[in-house]
Amino acid sequence: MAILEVNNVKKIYTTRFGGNQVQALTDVSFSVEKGEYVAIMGESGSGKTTLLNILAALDKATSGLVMLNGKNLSALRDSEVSAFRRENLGFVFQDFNLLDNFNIQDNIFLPLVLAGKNYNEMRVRLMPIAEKLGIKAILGKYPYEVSGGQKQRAAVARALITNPQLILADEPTGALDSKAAESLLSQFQEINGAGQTILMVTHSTQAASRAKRVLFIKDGQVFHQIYKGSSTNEEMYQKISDTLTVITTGGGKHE
Amino acid sequence: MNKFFYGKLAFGNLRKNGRLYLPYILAAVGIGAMYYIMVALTGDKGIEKMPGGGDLKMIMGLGCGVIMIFAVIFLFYTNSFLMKRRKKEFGLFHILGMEKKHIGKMMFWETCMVGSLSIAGGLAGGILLYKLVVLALLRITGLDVPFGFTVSGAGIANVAVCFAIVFAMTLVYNLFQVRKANAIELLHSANHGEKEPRTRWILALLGVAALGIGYWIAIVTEDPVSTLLLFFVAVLLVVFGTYFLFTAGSIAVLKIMRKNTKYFYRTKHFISVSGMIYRMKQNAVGLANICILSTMVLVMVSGTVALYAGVEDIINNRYPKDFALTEYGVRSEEEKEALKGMFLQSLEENGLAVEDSVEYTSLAVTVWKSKEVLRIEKPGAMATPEGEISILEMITLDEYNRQENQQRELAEDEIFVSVRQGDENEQAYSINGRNFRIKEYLKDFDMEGLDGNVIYDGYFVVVKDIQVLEELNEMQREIYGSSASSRDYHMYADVSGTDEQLKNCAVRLEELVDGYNQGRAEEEHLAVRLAVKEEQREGFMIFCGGFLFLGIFLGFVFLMATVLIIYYKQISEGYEDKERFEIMQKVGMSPREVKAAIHSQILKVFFLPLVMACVHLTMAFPMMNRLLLLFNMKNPGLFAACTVSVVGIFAVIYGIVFGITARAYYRIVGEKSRG
Repeated sequence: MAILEVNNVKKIYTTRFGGNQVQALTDVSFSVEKGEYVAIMGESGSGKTTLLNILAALDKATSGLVMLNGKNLSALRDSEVSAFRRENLGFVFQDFNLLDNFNIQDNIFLPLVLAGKNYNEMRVRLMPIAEKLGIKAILGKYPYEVSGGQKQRAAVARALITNPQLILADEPTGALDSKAAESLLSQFQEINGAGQTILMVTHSTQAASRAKRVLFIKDGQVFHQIYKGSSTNEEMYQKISDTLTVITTGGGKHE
Repeated sequence: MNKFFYGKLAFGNLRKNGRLYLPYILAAVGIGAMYYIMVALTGDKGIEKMPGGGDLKMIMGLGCGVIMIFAVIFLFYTNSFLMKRRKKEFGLFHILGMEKKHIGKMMFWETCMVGSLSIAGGLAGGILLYKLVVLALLRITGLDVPFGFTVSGAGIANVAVCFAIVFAMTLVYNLFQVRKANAIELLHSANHGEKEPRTRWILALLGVAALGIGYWIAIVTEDPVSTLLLFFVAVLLVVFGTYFLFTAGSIAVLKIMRKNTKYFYRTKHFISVSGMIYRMKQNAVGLANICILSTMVLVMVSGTVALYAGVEDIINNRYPKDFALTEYGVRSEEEKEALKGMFLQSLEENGLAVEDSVEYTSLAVTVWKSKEVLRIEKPGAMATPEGEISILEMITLDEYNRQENQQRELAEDEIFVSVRQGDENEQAYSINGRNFRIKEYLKDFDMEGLDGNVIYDGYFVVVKDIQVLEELNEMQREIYGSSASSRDYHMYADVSGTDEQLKNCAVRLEELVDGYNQGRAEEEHLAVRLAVKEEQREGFMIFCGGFLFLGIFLGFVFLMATVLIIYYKQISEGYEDKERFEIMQKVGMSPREVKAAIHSQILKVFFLPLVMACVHLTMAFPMMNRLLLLFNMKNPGLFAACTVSVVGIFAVIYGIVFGITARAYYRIVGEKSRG
């Protein structure tokens, strides 16, 4: 069963003073099955971020259809968007987006508080997640007191705690050193192994090589995709690099 | 490099930062104008020549000092706001290759532009408004001297020099700030990781204690004269208490709120409480400033409004009759009669008819009264005697019968008592062991309340004869020594006649009294005093009107400052909150919830100072009421009405300012960060 379906999505930006139109997404179609771990790759300006914003219901497609869990995102009313996002999506950002005025625990609780859950339920939900991510000891600390890797794990916990249908990760290893990145990616794999669907946008080959499937976007279109199947991380890494080389050196021929 | 390069750069910077600089310049213009007006009033030749002009000048001089001190504090405060916001910009310039001395040059030009604009604007505004202010002043004080359109050279010079110095000082401060910091610090100083504030319980408790003692002094101190002294102690305590409470107490309270998980983990409280904890550290002082400024405005304006509104009361309390003639220390009956004759003759010569007159010779003694026991006792350096301080004004039965046309009798140890203010329950008095039975409490007593004393409790006592009176006189003279009171002759009269006649008569009488006093100058503190109600009224109108004017004027200055501090707070908080609310929206908070959370937070933070100011004012009310007694104003009802209306008007203005700036805040928070 497809959790996310993207059909012929097109996005055109109009610059502020009228005039120029910029086509960010030309025609994007793909779907994500429940339990999948998909990475979307592309260079800067390829439309990755635009796509992610549309999937996150932060932005609306100019045309085309985005269905999340059977619901059409562009048909959501403004008043429903926030609650929908809260209930169905979990977010992990490159720059963590933790709030300085909350400690780690309260940062993780934030979406639940917004959803009106009571404290005891929040604690019950938090404990196994904190255990799994190894952040139990820093729950009482503030974001500025912990390392980048710890911050990102806290952000992952915040994304997981609502039991979302889909986790959207935007360049999650972008601000981490290689060791922290490696350990975060392992955790993503574990989480995915437990049945969580993940969609990650990245331009790190290392990060993408951990996913079960990699989509390549170029000039606003899905250009190519690779399934990991039974390949090892290293083989996957090699496949991705080859594809990227093809994309940068010439395009089209591969198809 | 073009020699105008830095000037152009500075000008561009100011334009780009218009949202920050415009209010700053406007405020400086406002304060400059106010200061010019005050200085010009102090030096105004027209005012100097007027009767009572000296008092007015003194009051305005007071105002000058207050405004100048205030201008320095205020300009520095807002300047530090600006610097905080602009450090990032300076850091960028630095990284782009400007040396600190170049940044300094640029800042120099900026300060020059802001300074000259402010001074020029202030002077222009001041000169234009001056005439209007003078007319208002004359109207309030009831004076009617025509003024031309005057420009005070001294005022211009004073404003230009003083403000130039202040701006130069801010420049030095800013240069020092930039010199101290390195580029990276400058770049990040606007949003470096704030540590959560620690709870400083001791400071919080100290704040509560200081406030408590301040309030306690304000409420408990009964004696108006010591009130004057203790007032400053109480004010200082309350000021410190407010600072401590806002800085430490607020954080303690918020942390207790956070500990309560049931309360804390709800969308509204979750965001506002944590936001306030985060915010209190940087903004507590600002809020305390707003609170104290608001209290100052409220106290000053309501006090002076009440004083002005009660000016008739004051005059009638103090001068119940048109003329009051007093001879301190009566030496002989003949002399007394001569004085009376002289007085009546002058009235007659000037065509004034006596409508109603009261005369008596009395001995007024200060006693400490507790129930039936009255003590004549010299207060020690440290301790005052037990009991309520009261004035006992004593006359003989003869005087009473003559004045009131009565034929009453008293025994040796009997007295009549008329209570002006105090208890009326005692059956007898014991004055330093001498016992008297109170035969009757007198009502409708002509001699009542003529002494103009409304501060202390007062009792009029009629004793049998001059022997009893002398006995008591001896007693008090022995105890009080050189500060003992004398038997004084009082003559009060209401007259009818034209204002012209009254004025002439007053002039004539003053000459006569002066002559009379010169004749007996050698004798210590014995003299004749004359008080003419009409003349006193003019003086009081100038005095109270001058204070009202100053109160409103300074109230206006402080209000302007309050408004500006609020504005800057909103703006700088807007920039800080922008990012936080963006994150929360990404995590699933709807724009409506964002707006509600912002609103609940700002509302709490901003109306806290106002509520606190009202609490201060309520606690200060009894004390202020007693201070007004020193001006012979005794009308708590009127004072309460004035206070309530002033608070009402202030709250409305505060609300409007809050609304306007809150909108600016929403605009900043709502702006898209990308783009």
